[in-house]
Amino acid sequence: MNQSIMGLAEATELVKAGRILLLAGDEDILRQLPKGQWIAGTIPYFIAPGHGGLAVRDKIFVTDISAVVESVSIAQYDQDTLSRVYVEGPEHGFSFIVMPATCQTHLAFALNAPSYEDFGVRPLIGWISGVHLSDLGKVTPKIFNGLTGVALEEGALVLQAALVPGKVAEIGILNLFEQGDGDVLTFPAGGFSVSDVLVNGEKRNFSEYISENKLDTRLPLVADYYGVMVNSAFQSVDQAPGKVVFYAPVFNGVRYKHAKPVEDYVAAFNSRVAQECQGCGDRIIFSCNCILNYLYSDLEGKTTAPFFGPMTFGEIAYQLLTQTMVFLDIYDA
Amino acid sequence: MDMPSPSHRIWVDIVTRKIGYRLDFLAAKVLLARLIQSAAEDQSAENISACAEKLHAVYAKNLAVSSAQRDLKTIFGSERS
Repeated sequence: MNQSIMGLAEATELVKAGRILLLAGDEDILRQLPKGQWIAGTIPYFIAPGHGGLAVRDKIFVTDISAVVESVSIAQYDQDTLSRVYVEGPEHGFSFIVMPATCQTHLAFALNAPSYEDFGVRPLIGWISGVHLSDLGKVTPKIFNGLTGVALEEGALVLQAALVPGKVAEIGILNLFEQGDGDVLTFPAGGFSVSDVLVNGEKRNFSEYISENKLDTRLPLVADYYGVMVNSAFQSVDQAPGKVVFYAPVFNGVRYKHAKPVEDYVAAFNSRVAQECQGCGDRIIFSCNCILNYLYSDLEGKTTAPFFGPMTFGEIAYQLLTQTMVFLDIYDA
Repeated sequence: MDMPSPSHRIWVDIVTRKIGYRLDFLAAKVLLARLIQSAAEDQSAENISACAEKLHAVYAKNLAVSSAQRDLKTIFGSERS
């Protein structure tokens, strides 16, 4: 098992042993780790082997990639330099990115990643770090560079991993949400925050439309990207200023529909895994899922085996996603 | 794997939606959605050629990826992949 949840002492031993680690945990415990070949983001929510979904501040979720990785380097980017993230990815390997939620680099990536040079040419997977929900507004999400021990609340850290010869990295997603049968929604101006929407081509105020149609905003808007369902999850709907805010931006020119409800997340998840991922469990090196799925689908104490990992404030599979599980599959060429 | 060059007509036909395929490779699908939109908004020969080259590049750089191999078989037929 290359993924597990453990206490500080056990994680420290792995770091000191020179293991190459992708870590997730509360800020206080991550700050106590020694320097080493690790990268981390803050979050205290996980789905862990042997536990299922849990929120815990005194454990670290550890993904040990040493067995499949030949060498690593850690690059730091800001909102102006992140456009090089795909170009600078390893030729034979993958890039693993972490960014703090709502920092300028996160917002820039969300809006601009698809236009960065060589988008999609090399694998980029990762997540947006967050905080315990009781700390929202009091504590900022962080990311950690294990090589330097530095914690950041602005920027992006990318672990550039060269795979051992004969291995291939492939990124996948598992999104249970599909487009519903309702109106086609497009946005004259994209972004994280919108006022106007075109409903089947007719201009409306989006917050009024949501209210009138009693849309369940726990369900995202879903766009069809050549067969890939891409969500934009709702953050807030403000009637007074008439603003609707998303956790991932909507884009001009993209057709969205409100998602169909998912009655039982775990049952639907297991069904999809059985259809699309039978026998792939041993090959899944890393996965993460959205904190909104954890909350809305009440995943505490429930498992999504063979996929384990942090519950995040955003998921990255080439571009920013929300309410979606992303995973890294490493297999023999 | 013998993959047709970026100037092969089929890349242009895909980004201009003259022909469509059921694809598997995640990176290609997400990219292709953007390229189709770009090619529809700017139909200049330069832009369409650039879109075709980007689609070609995402496959050319990922020839070892299983889903990319399946897509190339779908697009070009088993005799070419």
